[in-house]
Amino acid sequence: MMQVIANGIVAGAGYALFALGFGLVHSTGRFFHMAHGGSYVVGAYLTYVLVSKVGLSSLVGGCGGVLGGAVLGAMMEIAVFRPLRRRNASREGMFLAALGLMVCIQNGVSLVFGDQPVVLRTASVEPGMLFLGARITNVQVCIVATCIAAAASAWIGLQKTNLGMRIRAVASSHELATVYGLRPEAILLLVMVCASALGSLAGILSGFDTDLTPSMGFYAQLMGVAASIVGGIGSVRGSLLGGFMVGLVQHLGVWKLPTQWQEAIVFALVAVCLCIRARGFLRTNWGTKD
Amino acid sequence: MSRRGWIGVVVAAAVVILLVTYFWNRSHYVQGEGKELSIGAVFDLTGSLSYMGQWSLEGAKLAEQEVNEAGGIGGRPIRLLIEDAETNPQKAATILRRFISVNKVPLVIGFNGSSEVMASAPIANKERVVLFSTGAASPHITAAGDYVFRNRLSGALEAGKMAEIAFGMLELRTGMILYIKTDYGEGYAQAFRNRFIELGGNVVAVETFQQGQTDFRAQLSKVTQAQGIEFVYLASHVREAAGILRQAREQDVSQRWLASNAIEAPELFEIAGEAAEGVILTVAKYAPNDPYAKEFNRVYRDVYGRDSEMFAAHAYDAVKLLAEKIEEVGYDSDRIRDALYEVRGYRGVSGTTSFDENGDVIKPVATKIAQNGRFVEIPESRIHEYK
Amino acid sequence: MDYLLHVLVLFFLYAILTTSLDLLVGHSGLLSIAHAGLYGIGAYAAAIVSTHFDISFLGSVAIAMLAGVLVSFCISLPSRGLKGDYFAVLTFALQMVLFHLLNGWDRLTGGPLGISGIPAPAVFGAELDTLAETTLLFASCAGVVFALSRNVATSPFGRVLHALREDEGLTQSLGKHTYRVTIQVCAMSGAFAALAGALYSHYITYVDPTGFTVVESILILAMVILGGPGTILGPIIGAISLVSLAEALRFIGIPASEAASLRQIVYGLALIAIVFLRPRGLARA
Repeated sequence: MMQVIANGIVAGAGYALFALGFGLVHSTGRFFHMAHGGSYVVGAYLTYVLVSKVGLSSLVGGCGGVLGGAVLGAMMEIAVFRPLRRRNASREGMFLAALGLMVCIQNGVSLVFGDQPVVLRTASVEPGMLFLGARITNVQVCIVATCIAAAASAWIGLQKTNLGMRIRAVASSHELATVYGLRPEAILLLVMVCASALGSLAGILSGFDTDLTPSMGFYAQLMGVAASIVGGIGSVRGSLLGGFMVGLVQHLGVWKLPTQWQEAIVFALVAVCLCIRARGFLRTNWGTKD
Repeated sequence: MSRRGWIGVVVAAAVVILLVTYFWNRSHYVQGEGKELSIGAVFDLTGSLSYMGQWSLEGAKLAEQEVNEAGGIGGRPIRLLIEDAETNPQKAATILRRFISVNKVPLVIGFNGSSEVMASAPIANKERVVLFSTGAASPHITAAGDYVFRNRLSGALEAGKMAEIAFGMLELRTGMILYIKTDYGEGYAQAFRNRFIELGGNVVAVETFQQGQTDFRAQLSKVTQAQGIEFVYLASHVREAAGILRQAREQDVSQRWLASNAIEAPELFEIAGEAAEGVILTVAKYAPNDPYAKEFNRVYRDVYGRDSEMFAAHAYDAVKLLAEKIEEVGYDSDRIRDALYEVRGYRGVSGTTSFDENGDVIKPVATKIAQNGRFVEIPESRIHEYK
Repeated sequence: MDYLLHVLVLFFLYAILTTSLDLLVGHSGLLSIAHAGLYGIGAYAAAIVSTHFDISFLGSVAIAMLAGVLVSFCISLPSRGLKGDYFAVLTFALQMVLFHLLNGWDRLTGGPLGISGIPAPAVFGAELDTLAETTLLFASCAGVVFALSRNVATSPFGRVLHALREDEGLTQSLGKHTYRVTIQVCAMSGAFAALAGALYSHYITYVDPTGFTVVESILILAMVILGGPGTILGPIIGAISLVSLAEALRFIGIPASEAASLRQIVYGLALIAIVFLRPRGLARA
């Protein structure tokens, strides 16, 4: 039982980390960043190349991957999202463009690396540490720790710093922010870079935990969106809550049911949340943060 | 240009493209005096079964080359028309239709995925074209039709053999089945389960996972939950199997693992490392060091730089066998079909091939164990040592 | 000749799918990523009733369409007040659930092994043996769907849809029941998608879940968007373009193993390009 809960928490941490970046972009940029999974998969593969082919250590390779993912995010912002925003694109338009980007990135990875899985494992496969009756590996501890650390830094950054205040201002209203002398476009770029860094971090950790395939980004995207919807998009608290809820539902849900319904349960949950939210749609604040 | 204009351009372009490619294709591949004898080849070069498709392609091309270097058939070279089915049954069926109506081939090989065969078989049977699968395993294919053949062992036989070994030689009585929710997994799991229960064994639980899944911890919790099991039968592709084995070790789930053939690939050790040690699997017998295969493997290694796999050998045999039949009875699908049903004891590189009345083959099944980073065959007489 | 007829059949199937999706996306402003799921429901419904219960072709098509309508209620009934991309995410989630149902509910659907041996189409007892007859049948169905959709688009009901697309709040304030309208248009769209599914089943005589994934939904959506949502001919153009593109890319000398990924990349780029061309929304009056 403890093992099931531990599994759920680890999975949830991964989803939460993804949802964190996703939510950041949503509240400032006002759209569903369906290509967030792109940073996830590119970061992971870049780390793979750096560690396995170039021979760098996991830490350095990981940093390289994070950097790569962040750069990709910046490129997406500058080449696609910013111009679309300038042309007054609608939310659906941005959604579709992001979806298109995701398709391109995933297939690009597939072209370069092929569809078969690659491994980013550096140590031998050993039983994990025993903790309160559950076994968890070092990488898994890392995932949970990173998630908490990222969430904490994000929260502190947004609430306590000047920059954070500016970001929240932009999230609240682009127009007003401009009036007050802030430059929304620069802020949005910064947010995108940070969010993509988080996204690729999630991908890299997942790569160490299991393995890498081109479709890992898409899967993470599905779960990340689920986590955001369930927990509430756009707040740090929401991302954490959503992520852990999805992780736990996924694992506890199949405690008694056949495991093949793992994913279906999550999506059913997402659908239900959306429908419930729809009722209170007009009353909820979608744009502002904590 | 106005909107109307653009619409016109697009439609015209589409029509032109289709017509051009249709006629270009036809002019290149139509049969005639002195021209090539074409054999259609539908492989999964992308998608989840791409590794299989790639090997099959390599084997088939080797055979094509050898046949042509030896003078072809009556002086005419054979030619493989190679297409990618993308591990997608509709695409496979579309390609088959094109081969039939545009290229007018009487024989098509490949079709690694069982659902590809199922989608294409009705067309092959209706149009009287021989569909020769070099890799599909589903038991359903046995009844797929008169024109459908395969030189790969039905999964039912491999899985059934595993059940027999588990019950008879390893003396296991109670177990659990964990399989991948695809046509491959479904076929193997059912076959194992039926045979094991038939023998008197007990299957306590059956769980599944999705293709492409990476986190199997929920499934492993089920393994821990299952009472009194002595083994888990894992019917899966290599990537998922490796993930399961790895995570099982990380969670200290100690069970005996029996597996289906698909896990036999180097990735298993790459991904699962030590966790893969001790897994026993059954697989249609193929070893590059077998007397039949040695020479083939040597050539294969020269050309491709690594050892050959079963699917390459099957594809190679398919091309060679079909070439032989074309030479014997002519380039006609009905006659080739009849000739195939007569095949008994054809010595190919993938072993001895004989077709039964369903177009299935009977081939020996080997038992292997994952040991020290390699798959080692266990002779029948010694399997009981692993109790 | 058979091959060209086969491509035509595929085109008519996709034309029905794109036209029905366009009712939602182009005319009503409802971005749906569940269309392949509805397609699948129709295909499986037809497959199940014709193999297990020996129902005739026309009967199975009718039942399939009914199933499409019922499942579309799962999308439209609970989604009152859901806007634009939230609605899209809902359909996304439902698509995944539908796929898992088709893949997982072995008893009913055969799971990954699918259902084979579906009888060929037969109209009033006369079985359609030749490809030409089948093509004709599909062409007529596509024609009917097209005509009905055009009718709807130009009718008063269609005008309400367009108003809904532009501004739901305003439409409501003018006294139109947007909720009811949404349910109706979803039902129509679902029925047509299911029709395409039933036709597909009887044509290929084998169904398996892999043809009804979210990727397929995105493909159909891409066709609609590329062709021009909200226009009469748009869905048709989209269907022609992508069906022939898929076949044409085969012939050009790209190594087969790369072709699939390259094709997907082309779709992705095209999607982005279209958004650049029409940033303000999917439709233009």
